[in-house]
Amino acid sequence: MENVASVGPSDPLDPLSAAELTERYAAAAGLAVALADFRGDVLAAADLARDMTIAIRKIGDPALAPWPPMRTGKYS
Amino acid sequence: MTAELHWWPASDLSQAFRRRELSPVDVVRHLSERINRLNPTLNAFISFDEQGALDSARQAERALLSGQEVGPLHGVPVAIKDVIDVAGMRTTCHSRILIDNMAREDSEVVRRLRRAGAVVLGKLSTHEFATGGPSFDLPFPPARNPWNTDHHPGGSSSGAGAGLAAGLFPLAIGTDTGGSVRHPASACAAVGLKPTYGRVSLRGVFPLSYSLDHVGPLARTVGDCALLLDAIAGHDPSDPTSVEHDCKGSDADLQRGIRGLRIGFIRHFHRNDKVAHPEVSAALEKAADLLAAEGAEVIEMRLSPLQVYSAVNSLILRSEAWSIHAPWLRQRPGDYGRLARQRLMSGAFISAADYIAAQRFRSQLIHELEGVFQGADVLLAASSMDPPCRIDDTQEISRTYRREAREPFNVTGHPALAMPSGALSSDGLPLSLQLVGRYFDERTIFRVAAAFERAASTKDLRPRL
Repeated sequence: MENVASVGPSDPLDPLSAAELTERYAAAAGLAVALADFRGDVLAAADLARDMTIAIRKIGDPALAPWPPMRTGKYS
Repeated sequence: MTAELHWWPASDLSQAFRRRELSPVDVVRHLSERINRLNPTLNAFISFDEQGALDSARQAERALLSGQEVGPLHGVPVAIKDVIDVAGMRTTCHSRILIDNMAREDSEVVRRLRRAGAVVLGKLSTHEFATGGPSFDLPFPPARNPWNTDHHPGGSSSGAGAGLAAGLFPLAIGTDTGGSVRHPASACAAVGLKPTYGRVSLRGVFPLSYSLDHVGPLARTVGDCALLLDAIAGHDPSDPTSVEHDCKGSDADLQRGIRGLRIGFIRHFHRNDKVAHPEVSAALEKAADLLAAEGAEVIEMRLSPLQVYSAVNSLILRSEAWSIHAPWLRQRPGDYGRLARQRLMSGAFISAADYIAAQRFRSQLIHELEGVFQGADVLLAASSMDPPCRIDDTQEISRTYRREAREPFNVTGHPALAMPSGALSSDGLPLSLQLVGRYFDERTIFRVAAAFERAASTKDLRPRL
């Protein structure tokens, strides 16, 4: 399943289907009890994650950054 | 003089104990009276171990009277954030989840404090699991700011900031994953240091985010903060994050002055990236002028925008925190307060690929900051962009809590210290600044901080209680 956090603000999904996707993802993550008792908090958590993911993807191309298992030598 | 015992720095207490001019028992009794009187308003302590502290003080006194060799903090009271284990006391993390969690052993940091002779007073308020707060839906009330009890004291080491500012203890230990030592120091006019990553053991400390967590000292003076760092720092072979690096003598250069030091001023953090409250901005400019007047060369420098550092910190923190809290969030979500529940669950919605991307950006940011230190000995930056707001104003809390410049140094692991800028806001609340150093060079941070403390007379800032 695609990570719900990848659903950006310009995606053509309406709010209901975004919420449904979040709920399905939360259930898959084992958050059934939280969904039943604190649905609003689950949706707020997904919104937080979405904001964080958008922010990290705005930075640039992570492949340009060093990552020890994939590159040897000095950072440049 | 005894009436003002609660404002004595730890270094003065220690000397007076050694000269037998003062009794550790009398100091604990004096502070106990103050704690019992003020804590119901300030909520700095979750649990105050009055009897345990008196017993330790008596033991310290016996050692002094018998002429035993004593440690640098012998008989000095210290209080511990309630995410850090103290044997025989609960580590609740300010949460129902761990309400009955009795610590069987001391954390490494507490073990070192006891070895140095410190008297442990008790466990201090935090935000729930060092992240969810300030909150009113937890088993204990949130700490309040002694400068104005309607306002928050910063967090998550809230009780540490509140208790220091109120004269409940001279020293405290906090933790810092996105600024949680430096925020209460900033809000309460205390001095708080996030040491270099790996310099202080994390063993026996409940984690929030494995690769961002730091344990750090808080005090009312720069000298006390350095004294406390030296007591708790050092290699712990049982902590995989601990670094073998000999760096005692944090207080060696406190009187040296700063003539000739190069101080990089990261002005764009508060002027462009997250535009600071005008009073904060003015205080920072004044601080830069004061450092220059003390003989330092102040040079404007640039880093990546704060938003980049914040994005990396948040995503790593939330991902790692989810890996710790997932079992409880699945089974007992109702035992968390709302703020912690929302924040900790957010990690469930972050992909591994994004986490890896954040870690790769982190490598770039470390490289960037290391480059800046080729042209500067210490950096000057904002800590909080706003004075502390009302604790019950959830909108303003939400708006201002993230308006800070502390996260960059959790991302990179460089040591960073927050202290009073010497100015108060028009509402009478403390304003602050931040000093950042090279890896393992806390000594130079303390050198600059001490010079600033003298020049701006920040030691004398105290709230009316």
